[in-house]
Amino acid sequence: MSMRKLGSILLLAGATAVLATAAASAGPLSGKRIAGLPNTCSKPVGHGKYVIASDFPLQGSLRPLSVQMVEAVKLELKKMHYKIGKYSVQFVSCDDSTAAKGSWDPQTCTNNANSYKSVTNLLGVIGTYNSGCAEIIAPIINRAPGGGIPMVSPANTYVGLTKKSGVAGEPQKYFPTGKRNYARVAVPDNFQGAADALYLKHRHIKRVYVLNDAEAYGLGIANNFVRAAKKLGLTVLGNSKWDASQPNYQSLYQGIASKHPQAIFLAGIVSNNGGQLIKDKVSVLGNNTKVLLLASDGFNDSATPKDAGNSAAGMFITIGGSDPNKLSNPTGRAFVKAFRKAYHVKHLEAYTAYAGQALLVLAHAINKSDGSRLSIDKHLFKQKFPKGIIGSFKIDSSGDPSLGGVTVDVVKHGNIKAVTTVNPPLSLAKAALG
Amino acid sequence: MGTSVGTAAETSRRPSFALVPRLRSRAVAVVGILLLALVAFWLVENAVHDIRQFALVSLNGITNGSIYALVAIGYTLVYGILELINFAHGDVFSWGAMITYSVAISWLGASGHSGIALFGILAVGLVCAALFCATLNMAVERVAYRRLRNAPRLAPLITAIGMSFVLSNLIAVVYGFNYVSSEPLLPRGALFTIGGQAYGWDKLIVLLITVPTLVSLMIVVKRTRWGKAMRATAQNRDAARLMGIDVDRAIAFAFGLGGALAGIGGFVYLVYFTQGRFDLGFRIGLFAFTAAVLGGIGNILGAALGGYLIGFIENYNSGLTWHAPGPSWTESLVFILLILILVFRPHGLLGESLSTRS
Amino acid sequence: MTDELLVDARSVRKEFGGLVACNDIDFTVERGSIVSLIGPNGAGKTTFFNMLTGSYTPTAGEIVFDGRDIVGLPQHKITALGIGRTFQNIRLFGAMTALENVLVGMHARLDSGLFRSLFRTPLQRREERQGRAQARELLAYCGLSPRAERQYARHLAYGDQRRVEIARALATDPKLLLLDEPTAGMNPRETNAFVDFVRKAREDRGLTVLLIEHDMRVVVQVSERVTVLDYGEKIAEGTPDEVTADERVRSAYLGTKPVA
Ligand SMILES: Nc1ncnc2c1ncn2[C@@H]1O[C@H](COP(=O)(O)OP(=O)(O)OP(=O)(O)O)[C@@H](O)[C@H]1O
Ligand SMILES: [Mg+2]
Repeated sequence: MSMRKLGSILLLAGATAVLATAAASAGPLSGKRIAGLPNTCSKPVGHGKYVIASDFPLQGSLRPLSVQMVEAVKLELKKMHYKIGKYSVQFVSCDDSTAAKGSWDPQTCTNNANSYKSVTNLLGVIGTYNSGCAEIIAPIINRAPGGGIPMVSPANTYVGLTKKSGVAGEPQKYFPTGKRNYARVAVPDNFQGAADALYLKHRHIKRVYVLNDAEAYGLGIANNFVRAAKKLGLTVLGNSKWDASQPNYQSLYQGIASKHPQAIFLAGIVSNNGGQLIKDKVSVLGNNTKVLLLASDGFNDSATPKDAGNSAAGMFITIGGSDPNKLSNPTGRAFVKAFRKAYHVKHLEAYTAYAGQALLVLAHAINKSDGSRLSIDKHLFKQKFPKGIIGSFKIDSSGDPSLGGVTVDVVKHGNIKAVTTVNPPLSLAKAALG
Repeated sequence: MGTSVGTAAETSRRPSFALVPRLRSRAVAVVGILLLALVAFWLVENAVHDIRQFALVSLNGITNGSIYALVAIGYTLVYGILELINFAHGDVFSWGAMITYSVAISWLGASGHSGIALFGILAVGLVCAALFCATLNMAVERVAYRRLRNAPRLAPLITAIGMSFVLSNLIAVVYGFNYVSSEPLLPRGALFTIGGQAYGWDKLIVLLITVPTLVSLMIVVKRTRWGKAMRATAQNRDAARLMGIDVDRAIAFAFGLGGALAGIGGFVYLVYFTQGRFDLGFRIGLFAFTAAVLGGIGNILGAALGGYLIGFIENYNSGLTWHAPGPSWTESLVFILLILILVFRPHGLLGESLSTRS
Repeated sequence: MTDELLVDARSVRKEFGGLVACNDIDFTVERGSIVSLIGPNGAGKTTFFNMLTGSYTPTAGEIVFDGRDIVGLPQHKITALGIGRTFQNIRLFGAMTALENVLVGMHARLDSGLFRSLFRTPLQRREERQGRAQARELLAYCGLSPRAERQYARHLAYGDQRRVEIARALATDPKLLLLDEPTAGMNPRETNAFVDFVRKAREDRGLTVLLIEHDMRVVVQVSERVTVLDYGEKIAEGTPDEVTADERVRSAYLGTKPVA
């Protein structure tokens, strides 16, 4: 829609103005800015010849989550005294969001990626949070002179980034040189979609309606879910889009109501007007005990209970991986303890431990490499972490972790609390891939 | 009829939105009728398919449409009098919602009350939102548009876009970039049920606020001294001056009226949908402006009609199940309709048609 | 002495770029009189009207109306002081009914403010009702049939449009009525009726009338004094007989535009 495009351009113009002011007022950390990096990046911490960057949405509703991820990376680097093997590194935190959007922004992702390309001593990027942003950044930095810049994401769950997803050209199109430079520790969506379907089956749900926000992540996980649900014998009554800019969704749910669903599955992110979506679900279909409401990890955010208020009560939200606050392995517990102490927080956000782990995956590869990016890239894959923060796991040849546990949370008294963990069998996860 | 701000005598000066001004051949008419028939068939088929759902969705359409109608009138009033698309109008609407939040929810704690107390709080919220937005819109005119009244048309247009950013960013400064949200305010109990689905009191209340507002506006514009002054100014500014009308005040009056309606629209939006954000006015504004053009820009009744039409499209499209394109198509459909109307009726549904032009 | 002058314009000048549309014109109108302003096309007559009503600000000179210097006053204030006018090319509010047009003319006489416009108090309703009655009377006075009242101004016949325009000007309750070529487009019968109307209106309403007129028969019949402009200059002034006898007028004006 051209009007929409015009709108985003205008919005962007406004956002740039706001950003410029925000950047100008950002306090100094230490050291001088690294030449070539955009002003969405902080000043570096640590010292050394090489650079590691993180790339997260630091503005909008995801800020608390992102800030903890940045701190987790810093915590691990500090433990190493900013030295990875024989390479001493500095760390910068870059922002891929705009204040006006309150979430990641394609143009900012593109700009960030192009500037990473120009920094020759950049050894790796920890990021992104949003798969959509990774889809933009990965292919750009894959073509960096001197070899693709290694990238490890703690939170990208979109399947197509590493494996065939059904979308043409995936995942090869993210690696135009043919040499992969991307790995992740987050649990891919097919696991989550499978787990979501499995959880509904556990709860004796037979008829479910799916709503997705039509973004890569939302659409992807909706499809994963639908395939897994069908495999499990659930009836999927429909899988349609919700339009984030619509003022309300009462008619949408009235259409759905005529199909008598027992559960609604929301695949997408809460910043796409998720609050209204939940409010209207409850006002048309009834509360979440009457018709179960399950949402993917894009809703696993304090914004969900805040925006939806009481309507969110009793809804379930899954999240790939384990709840960091409940890690039981020694390395994990040690990480959580250290993090709480260093940053004076009690509650770790969903991806904080994963961010620490992502840095370790990168560091491990750097350590084994000859110092060239191509060599680091090669060593990203097929690594083993018997004592990782998030547990014992491997990175497979396409860059995915072998851990597939999915946590189911529930909203209670305005908080998101873990209920249980679902471990979908690998066969179901594969079926979800299609 | 009779609610038009503009006049045919002026239409020659006015940019007609006609895309194909002389496209009136029989073939085109046939295509138009076929399209209409198709839409009518689709609606009837859906109604037959599930009459209850159709009724519910229609009622939603009326509710949402009345909000679009309130906002659309602000565009039409200003366009009628200045030939300016007041892009900032949608953001004035956003301010109405946010002020309602501040006054009724933050300060007076509406969510904790019911009955008469709630009614009182909401009444205060409504008056505050209307007054604030009327003042805001008049201030925008005074500060940004008045000195550009004789400038080339592009200048005030660009200024309007700028004002839109200023207003929405100001909301972000005051309220942040995230949603403000509240628990349901209006009683949601069922007034009646259709096929097990409730038609809540809240929807009726929305209509009880918006419809009388629309009617009084038409009376004000049609009957009162300043309403007439405003229409006179829209139709012939020079002659209006010679009738002793202070044209600046008449224009301010139009902005004030439009602003007050946007404020009431924002109020209704917030208490009905119970959330708001700085960019609220972007889509609502776009749709409301489209509604104004659909109805025939400058024509108040037309703007209201256009608003309801868009409310229906939006809700039919997401709520009907028999071959509905689905909500992702709403925007496309609205603009397709806009284009069709401009092809077949270049001056909008109730605007002057070309043939009656001298 | 000045009390008898309703309009006293001294050395009024208007330039458009290099063009001098009115060149230092002295011009007076006595209270209660009917005065004609004549001259060939482009002589500056309408321009002079526009300066009287405040549409144009004179480049130089002063205009005293009813004892007040009105140069620089906003138009709506000048109207409120008591100058009403019609236009050479009719400028009605086309999308309003004839009645509404006249009601708009009453704007300055009514006093309900912006706020009272919103909350239609009983007082306001009464004011509206009375206004409506007066407007009807005025339209009838100007010869418009009651049937035409409710029609949109743009749908009225030409002659009726002229009537409405005069009624609208009278609605502003002027002391001075400016008529710019009021008989243009009228047939001889209508023209005669118009002459009678102007005389009657002056008597009934205590008006002073200043008209621009090309039809010399009308000028001679209706006016007590005539001023002749040519190329922005005042070339003659006097009674109709004096002026028509003037050689300069004959060559400048009558030469180019024969008496119809
Ligand atoms: N706004 C303007 N800008 C430039 N020139 C103007 C303007 N108004 C009038 N003129 C010029 O001033 C001169 C006098 O015009 P004016 O309309 O006063 O003539 P007039 O005596 O009324 O003629 P007519 O009998 O044709 O109505 C003309 O040459 C006209 O072109
Ligand atoms: Mg003239």
